[in-house]
Amino acid sequence: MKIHDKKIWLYHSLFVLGLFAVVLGTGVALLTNVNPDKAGFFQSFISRNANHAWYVVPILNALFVLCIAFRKLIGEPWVWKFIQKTLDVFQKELFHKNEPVFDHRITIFRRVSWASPFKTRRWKIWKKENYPFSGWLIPVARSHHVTQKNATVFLCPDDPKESEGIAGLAFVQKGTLVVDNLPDLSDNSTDEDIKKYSSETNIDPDFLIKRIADHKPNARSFYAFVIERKDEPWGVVVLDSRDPKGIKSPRGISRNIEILSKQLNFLLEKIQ
Amino acid sequence: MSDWLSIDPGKFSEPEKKTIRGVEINVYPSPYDIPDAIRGYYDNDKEKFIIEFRYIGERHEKLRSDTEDDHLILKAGKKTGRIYELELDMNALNANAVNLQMQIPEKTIDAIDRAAKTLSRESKKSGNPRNYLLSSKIVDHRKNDLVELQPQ
Repeated sequence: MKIHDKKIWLYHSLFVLGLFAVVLGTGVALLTNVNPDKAGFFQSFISRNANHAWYVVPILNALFVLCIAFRKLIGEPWVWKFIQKTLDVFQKELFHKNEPVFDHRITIFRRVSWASPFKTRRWKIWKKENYPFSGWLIPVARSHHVTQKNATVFLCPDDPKESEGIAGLAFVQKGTLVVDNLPDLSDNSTDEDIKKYSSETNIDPDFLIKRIADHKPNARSFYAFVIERKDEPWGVVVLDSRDPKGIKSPRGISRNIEILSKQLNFLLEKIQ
Repeated sequence: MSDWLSIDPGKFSEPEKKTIRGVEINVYPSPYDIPDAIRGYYDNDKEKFIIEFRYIGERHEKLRSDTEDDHLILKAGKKTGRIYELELDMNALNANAVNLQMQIPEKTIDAIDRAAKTLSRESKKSGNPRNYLLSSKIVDHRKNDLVELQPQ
Protein backbone atom coordinates (compact mmCIF):
# COMPACT_ATOMS: atom_id res chain seq x y z
CA MET A 1 0.00 0.00 0.00
CA LYS A 2 1.38 3.41 -0.96
CA ILE A 3 1.60 6.20 1.58
CA HIS A 4 -1.24 8.15 -0.01
CA ASP A 5 -3.51 5.12 -0.57
CA LYS A 6 -4.94 5.56 2.93
CA LYS A 7 -5.84 9.15 2.03
CA ILE A 8 -7.63 8.02 -1.12
CA TRP A 9 -9.51 5.31 0.80
CA LEU A 10 -10.52 7.84 3.47
CA TYR A 11 -11.56 10.36 0.80
CA HIS A 12 -13.97 7.87 -0.78
CA SER A 13 -15.22 6.62 2.62
CA LEU A 14 -16.07 10.19 3.61
CA PHE A 15 -18.09 10.54 0.42
CA VAL A 16 -20.15 7.47 1.34
CA LEU A 17 -20.59 8.68 4.93
CA GLY A 18 -21.56 12.19 3.80
CA LEU A 19 -24.05 10.81 1.30
CA PHE A 20 -25.53 8.54 3.96
CA ALA A 21 -25.86 11.52 6.36
CA VAL A 22 -27.56 13.78 3.84
CA VAL A 23 -29.97 11.10 2.59
CA LEU A 24 -30.88 10.05 6.12
CA GLY A 25 -31.20 13.69 7.27
CA THR A 26 -33.50 14.51 4.35
CA GLY A 27 -35.53 11.36 5.00
CA VAL A 28 -36.00 12.17 8.67
CA ALA A 29 -36.93 15.79 7.88
CA LEU A 30 -39.53 14.64 5.34
CA LEU A 31 -40.99 12.03 7.69
CA THR A 32 -41.73 14.67 10.34
CA ASN A 33 -44.15 16.30 7.90
CA VAL A 34 -46.06 13.07 7.29
CA ASN A 35 -49.27 12.43 9.18
CA PRO A 36 -48.62 9.16 11.09
CA ASP A 37 -52.21 8.07 10.56
CA LYS A 38 -51.63 8.05 6.82
CA ALA A 39 -48.18 6.47 6.95
CA GLY A 40 -49.38 2.88 6.83
CA PHE A 41 -46.45 0.54 7.49
CA PHE A 42 -44.30 3.41 8.94
CA GLN A 43 -47.00 4.65 11.35
CA SER A 44 -45.46 3.32 14.56
CA PHE A 45 -41.92 4.25 13.48
CA ILE A 46 -42.88 7.90 12.79
CA SER A 47 -44.91 8.24 16.01
CA ARG A 48 -41.99 6.91 18.01
CA ASN A 49 -39.19 8.96 16.42
CA ALA A 50 -40.76 12.23 15.27
CA ASN A 51 -39.83 13.86 18.59
CA HIS A 52 -36.12 13.21 17.97
CA ALA A 53 -35.99 14.87 14.58
CA TRP A 54 -35.22 18.34 16.01
CA TYR A 55 -31.72 17.26 16.96
CA VAL A 56 -31.12 14.29 14.61
CA VAL A 57 -31.49 16.40 11.46
CA PRO A 58 -28.98 19.12 12.51
CA ILE A 59 -26.50 16.42 13.64
CA LEU A 60 -26.73 14.65 10.28
CA ASN A 61 -26.35 17.97 8.45
CA ALA A 62 -23.30 18.78 10.55
CA LEU A 63 -21.86 15.34 9.75
CA PHE A 64 -22.37 16.03 6.05
CA VAL A 65 -20.55 19.38 6.31
CA LEU A 66 -17.71 17.75 8.27
CA CYS A 67 -17.32 15.08 5.60
CA ILE A 68 -17.01 17.77 2.92
CA ALA A 69 -14.47 19.70 5.02
CA PHE A 70 -12.32 16.60 5.68
CA ARG A 71 -12.41 15.63 2.01
CA LYS A 72 -11.09 19.08 1.10
CA LEU A 73 -8.40 18.72 3.75
CA ILE A 74 -7.25 15.39 2.34
CA GLY A 75 -7.20 16.55 -1.26
CA GLU A 76 -8.66 14.95 -4.34
CA PRO A 77 -7.31 11.49 -5.22
CA TRP A 78 -6.23 12.59 -8.72
CA VAL A 79 -3.87 15.11 -7.09
CA TRP A 80 -2.16 12.42 -5.03
CA LYS A 81 -1.98 10.05 -7.99
CA PHE A 82 -0.49 12.83 -10.12
CA ILE A 83 2.08 13.60 -7.41
CA GLN A 84 3.00 9.90 -7.28
CA LYS A 85 3.47 9.76 -11.07
CA THR A 86 5.52 12.96 -10.98
CA LEU A 87 7.89 11.50 -8.38
CA ASP A 88 8.23 8.28 -10.38
CA VAL A 89 9.18 10.25 -13.50
CA PHE A 90 11.70 12.49 -11.76
CA GLN A 91 13.26 9.53 -9.97
CA LYS A 92 14.63 8.55 -13.38
CA GLU A 93 16.17 11.99 -13.95
CA LEU A 94 17.73 13.03 -10.67
CA PHE A 95 19.97 10.07 -9.81
CA HIS A 96 23.03 8.73 -11.62
CA LYS A 97 21.50 5.27 -11.39
CA ASN A 98 17.84 4.71 -10.74
CA GLU A 99 17.87 0.96 -10.12
CA PRO A 100 17.07 -0.60 -7.74
CA VAL A 101 14.36 1.96 -7.09
CA PHE A 102 14.35 1.41 -3.33
CA ASP A 103 17.98 2.60 -3.15
CA HIS A 104 17.26 5.92 -4.90
CA ARG A 105 14.10 7.54 -3.66
CA ILE A 106 12.20 10.82 -3.66
CA THR A 107 9.97 11.47 -0.66
CA ILE A 108 7.66 14.38 0.07
CA PHE A 109 7.30 15.32 3.72
CA ARG A 110 4.53 17.61 4.87
CA ARG A 111 5.00 19.82 7.89
CA VAL A 112 2.12 19.32 10.30
CA SER A 113 1.58 20.88 13.71
CA TRP A 114 0.09 17.66 15.09
CA ALA A 115 0.85 14.01 14.45
CA SER A 116 -0.47 10.90 16.15
CA PRO A 117 2.05 8.98 18.32
CA PHE A 118 1.17 5.93 16.20
CA LYS A 119 2.67 7.77 13.23
CA THR A 120 5.62 9.37 15.01
CA ARG A 121 6.35 6.24 17.05
CA ARG A 122 7.95 8.34 19.77
CA TRP A 123 6.56 6.63 22.80
CA LYS A 124 8.59 8.67 25.28
CA ILE A 125 6.00 11.41 25.05
CA TRP A 126 6.98 12.83 28.42
CA LYS A 127 9.97 14.30 26.59
CA LYS A 128 8.97 17.81 25.62
CA GLU A 129 10.06 17.50 22.00
CA ASN A 130 8.08 14.30 21.42
CA TYR A 131 4.63 15.69 22.08
CA PRO A 132 2.15 14.94 19.30
CA PHE A 133 1.71 18.68 18.82
CA SER A 134 5.44 19.48 18.71
CA GLY A 135 5.43 19.96 14.92
CA TRP A 136 6.46 17.14 12.56
CA LEU A 137 7.50 16.36 9.03
CA ILE A 138 5.47 13.35 7.95
CA PRO A 139 5.89 11.46 4.65
CA VAL A 140 2.94 11.92 2.31
CA ALA A 141 4.28 10.51 -0.96
CA ARG A 142 7.28 8.49 -2.13
CA SER A 143 8.54 7.47 -5.54
CA HIS A 144 7.61 4.01 -6.83
CA HIS A 145 5.92 1.27 -4.90
CA VAL A 146 8.71 0.27 -2.51
CA THR A 147 9.59 1.18 1.11
CA GLN A 148 6.26 2.93 1.51
CA LYS A 149 5.61 1.56 4.99
CA ASN A 150 7.37 2.76 8.13
CA ALA A 151 8.90 5.84 6.50
CA THR A 152 10.67 7.95 9.10
CA VAL A 153 8.94 10.94 10.65
CA PHE A 154 11.09 13.92 11.64
CA LEU A 155 10.61 16.39 14.43
CA CYS A 156 10.17 19.94 13.09
CA PRO A 157 9.03 22.24 15.89
CA ASP A 158 8.84 26.02 15.90
CA ASP A 159 12.21 26.07 17.66
CA PRO A 160 14.63 25.49 14.74
CA LYS A 161 17.29 24.03 17.05
CA GLU A 162 15.08 21.02 17.71
CA SER A 163 14.49 20.07 14.06
CA GLU A 164 15.63 16.61 12.97
CA GLY A 165 17.24 15.18 9.89
CA ILE A 166 18.21 16.78 6.60
CA ALA A 167 14.49 17.35 6.04
CA GLY A 168 14.16 19.34 9.26
CA LEU A 169 17.25 21.41 8.44
CA ALA A 170 16.03 22.19 4.91
CA PHE A 171 12.69 23.32 6.31
CA VAL A 172 14.33 25.56 8.89
CA GLN A 173 16.84 27.01 6.43
CA LYS A 174 14.12 27.48 3.75
CA GLY A 175 16.73 26.40 1.24
CA THR A 176 18.32 23.41 -0.48
CA LEU A 177 20.72 21.16 1.41
CA VAL A 178 23.15 18.71 -0.12
CA VAL A 179 25.03 16.05 1.85
CA ASP A 180 26.94 13.19 0.28
CA ASN A 181 29.79 10.74 0.86
CA LEU A 182 28.29 9.59 4.13
CA PRO A 183 29.73 6.48 5.78
CA ASP A 184 28.12 3.13 5.02
CA LEU A 185 26.57 2.17 8.34
CA SER A 186 26.51 -1.52 9.23
CA ASP A 187 27.19 -3.84 12.18
CA ASN A 188 30.90 -3.19 11.64
CA SER A 189 30.65 0.60 11.73
CA THR A 190 32.84 2.44 14.20
CA ASP A 191 31.61 5.01 16.69
CA GLU A 192 33.42 7.56 14.55
CA ASP A 193 31.33 6.61 11.50
CA ILE A 194 28.10 6.84 13.47
CA LYS A 195 29.13 10.20 14.91
CA LYS A 196 30.03 11.57 11.46
CA TYR A 197 26.77 10.33 9.95
CA SER A 198 24.78 11.65 12.88
CA SER A 199 26.30 15.14 12.82
CA GLU A 200 26.12 15.56 9.03
CA THR A 201 22.52 14.37 8.78
CA ASN A 202 21.24 15.91 12.01
CA ILE A 203 19.97 12.53 13.25
CA ASP A 204 20.19 11.25 16.83
CA PRO A 205 23.00 8.62 17.11
CA ASP A 206 20.74 6.37 19.23
CA PHE A 207 18.25 6.32 16.38
CA LEU A 208 21.02 5.26 13.98
CA ILE A 209 22.28 2.54 16.34
CA LYS A 210 18.75 1.13 16.49
CA ARG A 211 18.46 1.18 12.71
CA ILE A 212 21.78 -0.65 12.39
CA ALA A 213 20.62 -3.26 14.93
CA ASP A 214 17.39 -3.69 12.95
CA HIS A 215 19.46 -4.10 9.73
CA LYS A 216 17.71 -1.16 8.11
CA PRO A 217 19.60 0.48 5.24
CA ASN A 218 20.78 4.07 5.56
CA ALA A 219 21.14 6.47 2.65
CA ARG A 220 24.62 7.79 1.87
CA SER A 221 23.67 10.94 0.00
CA PHE A 222 20.84 13.42 0.41
CA TYR A 223 19.42 16.42 -1.43
CA ALA A 224 16.57 18.23 0.28
CA PHE A 225 14.65 21.36 -0.57
CA VAL A 226 11.71 23.11 0.95
CA ILE A 227 8.44 23.24 -1.02
CA GLU A 228 5.92 26.01 -0.72
CA ARG A 229 2.20 26.43 -1.03
CA LYS A 230 0.81 29.92 -1.44
CA ASP A 231 4.17 31.47 -0.55
CA GLU A 232 4.40 29.59 2.75
CA PRO A 233 6.75 26.66 3.47
CA TRP A 234 4.55 23.56 3.21
CA GLY A 235 7.03 20.70 3.45
CA VAL A 236 10.24 19.24 2.13
CA VAL A 237 11.22 17.06 -0.82
CA VAL A 238 14.07 14.69 0.05
CA LEU A 239 16.13 12.77 -2.48
CA ASP A 240 18.13 9.99 -0.86
CA SER A 241 20.46 7.42 -2.34
CA ARG A 242 22.36 4.43 -1.01
CA ASP A 243 25.17 5.48 -3.33
CA PRO A 244 27.63 7.96 -1.73
CA LYS A 245 27.49 10.09 -4.90
CA GLY A 246 24.15 8.82 -6.16
CA ILE A 247 22.44 12.15 -6.73
CA LYS A 248 23.44 14.28 -9.71
CA SER A 249 25.18 17.60 -9.06
CA PRO A 250 22.99 20.47 -7.78
CA ARG A 251 23.78 22.55 -10.87
CA GLY A 252 23.11 19.64 -13.20
CA ILE A 253 19.65 18.99 -11.80
CA SER A 254 18.66 22.58 -11.10
CA ARG A 255 16.39 22.77 -14.18
CA ASN A 256 14.71 19.46 -13.27
CA ILE A 257 14.25 20.63 -9.70
CA GLU A 258 12.67 23.84 -11.01
CA ILE A 259 10.20 21.86 -13.14
CA LEU A 260 9.44 19.46 -10.27
CA SER A 261 8.85 22.41 -7.93
CA LYS A 262 6.53 24.05 -10.47
CA GLN A 263 4.49 20.87 -10.83
CA LEU A 264 4.28 20.34 -7.08
CA ASN A 265 3.38 23.98 -6.55
CA PHE A 266 0.48 23.63 -8.97
CA LEU A 267 -0.69 20.35 -7.41
CA LEU A 268 -0.39 21.53 -3.81
CA GLU A 269 -2.68 24.47 -4.61
CA LYS A 270 -5.41 21.83 -4.91
CA ILE A 271 -4.87 20.62 -1.35
CA GLN A 272 -6.04 22.53 1.71
CA MET B 1 5.47 45.14 -22.74
CA SER B 2 8.43 42.91 -23.49
CA ASP B 3 8.69 39.13 -23.39
CA TRP B 4 9.98 37.27 -20.39
CA LEU B 5 13.61 36.23 -20.54
CA SER B 6 14.23 32.77 -19.18
CA ILE B 7 16.79 32.30 -16.40
CA ASP B 8 18.95 29.21 -16.03
CA PRO B 9 18.73 28.35 -12.31
CA GLY B 10 22.00 26.40 -12.49
CA LYS B 11 23.93 29.64 -13.01
CA PHE B 12 22.63 31.08 -9.77
CA SER B 13 22.72 28.01 -7.54
CA GLU B 14 25.75 29.17 -5.60
CA PRO B 15 26.12 27.35 -2.29
CA GLU B 16 26.47 29.27 0.91
CA LYS B 17 28.56 27.55 3.56
CA LYS B 18 26.79 27.53 6.88
CA THR B 19 27.87 26.02 10.16
CA ILE B 20 24.85 24.38 11.70
CA ARG B 21 25.32 22.76 15.09
CA GLY B 22 29.07 22.62 14.55
CA VAL B 23 28.87 21.03 11.10
CA GLU B 24 29.65 22.88 7.87
CA ILE B 25 26.85 22.38 5.34
CA ASN B 26 26.34 23.73 1.83
CA VAL B 27 23.03 25.56 1.64
CA TYR B 28 21.81 26.33 -1.88
CA PRO B 29 18.97 28.74 -2.63
CA SER B 30 15.48 27.32 -2.61
CA PRO B 31 14.14 26.78 -6.16
CA TYR B 32 11.31 29.11 -5.12
CA ASP B 33 13.79 31.93 -4.44
CA ILE B 34 15.44 31.87 -7.86
CA PRO B 35 13.37 33.82 -10.42
CA ASP B 36 12.56 31.69 -13.43
CA ALA B 37 12.25 34.72 -15.72
CA ILE B 38 12.94 38.44 -15.89
CA ARG B 39 11.76 41.24 -18.14
CA GLY B 40 12.35 44.94 -18.48
CA TYR B 41 10.31 47.61 -20.21
CA TYR B 42 9.79 51.31 -20.24
CA ASP B 43 6.47 52.42 -18.77
CA ASN B 44 5.48 55.58 -20.62
CA ASP B 45 2.77 56.53 -18.13
CA LYS B 46 5.04 56.30 -15.12
CA GLU B 47 8.07 57.42 -17.08
CA LYS B 48 9.98 54.65 -15.41
CA PHE B 49 12.01 51.68 -16.47
CA ILE B 50 10.46 48.60 -14.88
CA ILE B 51 12.26 45.35 -14.20
CA GLU B 52 10.03 42.44 -13.20
CA PHE B 53 10.97 39.05 -11.76
CA ARG B 54 8.80 35.97 -12.12
CA TYR B 55 8.98 33.06 -9.68
CA ILE B 56 7.66 29.52 -9.47
CA GLY B 57 3.91 29.50 -9.07
CA GLU B 58 1.40 32.25 -8.62
CA ARG B 59 2.11 35.05 -6.19
CA HIS B 60 -0.26 35.13 -3.21
CA GLU B 61 1.62 37.41 -0.87
CA LYS B 62 1.21 41.17 -0.74
CA LEU B 63 4.01 43.44 -1.86
CA ARG B 64 5.75 46.10 0.13
CA SER B 65 7.32 49.07 -1.58
CA ASP B 66 10.67 50.34 -0.43
CA THR B 67 12.00 53.59 -1.78
CA GLU B 68 15.70 53.04 -1.77
CA ASP B 69 16.75 56.41 -3.08
CA ASP B 70 15.51 59.15 -5.39
CA HIS B 71 15.26 56.90 -8.41
CA LEU B 72 14.58 53.36 -7.26
CA ILE B 73 11.42 51.83 -5.88
CA LEU B 74 11.71 48.19 -5.01
CA LYS B 75 8.67 45.95 -4.58
CA ALA B 76 9.29 42.84 -2.50
CA GLY B 77 7.06 40.11 -1.08
CA LYS B 78 5.99 40.81 2.49
CA LYS B 79 6.39 37.19 3.59
CA THR B 80 9.24 35.91 1.47
CA GLY B 81 11.26 39.05 0.84
CA ARG B 82 11.53 38.08 -2.85
CA ILE B 83 11.99 41.00 -5.19
CA TYR B 84 9.15 41.16 -7.71
CA GLU B 85 9.63 44.55 -9.31
CA LEU B 86 12.11 47.40 -9.60
CA GLU B 87 11.00 50.82 -10.75
CA LEU B 88 13.77 53.05 -12.02
CA ASP B 89 12.99 56.72 -12.39
CA MET B 90 14.81 57.63 -15.58
CA ASN B 91 14.19 61.37 -15.10
CA ALA B 92 15.99 61.23 -11.77
CA LEU B 93 18.84 59.48 -13.53
CA ASN B 94 19.00 62.36 -16.03
CA ALA B 95 18.90 59.79 -18.77
CA ASN B 96 17.91 60.58 -22.31
CA ALA B 97 17.20 58.46 -25.32
CA VAL B 98 20.71 58.92 -26.61
CA ASN B 99 22.66 57.62 -23.67
CA LEU B 100 19.96 55.50 -22.00
CA GLN B 101 21.40 52.31 -23.39
CA MET B 102 24.66 53.02 -21.65
CA GLN B 103 23.12 54.24 -18.46
CA ILE B 104 20.53 51.57 -17.70
CA PRO B 105 22.83 48.67 -16.85
CA GLU B 106 25.17 50.73 -14.74
CA LYS B 107 22.46 52.68 -12.98
CA THR B 108 20.30 49.61 -12.48
CA ILE B 109 23.09 47.53 -11.08
CA ASP B 110 24.26 50.40 -8.90
CA ALA B 111 20.74 50.85 -7.64
CA ILE B 112 20.26 47.14 -7.01
CA ASP B 113 23.58 46.88 -5.26
CA ARG B 114 22.58 49.75 -3.04
CA ALA B 115 19.18 48.14 -2.49
CA ALA B 116 20.78 44.78 -1.72
CA LYS B 117 22.99 46.32 0.92
CA THR B 118 20.23 48.32 2.53
CA LEU B 119 17.69 45.52 2.42
CA SER B 120 20.12 42.83 3.49
CA ARG B 121 20.70 44.94 6.59
CA GLU B 122 16.97 45.00 7.17
CA SER B 123 16.43 41.41 6.18
CA LYS B 124 18.90 40.15 8.76
CA LYS B 125 16.18 40.97 11.23
CA SER B 126 13.27 39.32 9.47
CA GLY B 127 13.83 38.48 5.82
CA ASN B 128 16.23 36.76 3.50
CA PRO B 129 19.28 38.65 2.15
CA ARG B 130 19.95 35.90 -0.41
CA ASN B 131 16.96 37.05 -2.47
CA TYR B 132 18.36 40.52 -2.94
CA LEU B 133 21.79 39.26 -3.88
CA LEU B 134 20.26 36.79 -6.34
CA SER B 135 18.23 39.55 -8.00
CA SER B 136 21.29 41.69 -8.27
CA LYS B 137 23.26 38.87 -9.95
CA ILE B 138 20.43 38.08 -12.35
CA VAL B 139 20.05 41.69 -13.49
CA ASP B 140 23.80 41.86 -13.94
CA HIS B 141 23.75 38.65 -15.97
CA ARG B 142 20.85 39.69 -18.26
CA LYS B 143 21.62 43.42 -18.40
CA ASN B 144 22.41 43.39 -22.11
CA ASP B 145 19.10 41.71 -22.91
CA LEU B 146 17.25 44.18 -20.69
CA VAL B 147 18.93 47.17 -22.27
CA GLU B 148 17.79 46.09 -25.71
CA LEU B 149 14.31 46.97 -24.47
CA GLN B 150 15.04 50.68 -24.23
CA PRO B 151 12.32 53.18 -25.24
CA GLN B 152 12.36 54.36 -28.83
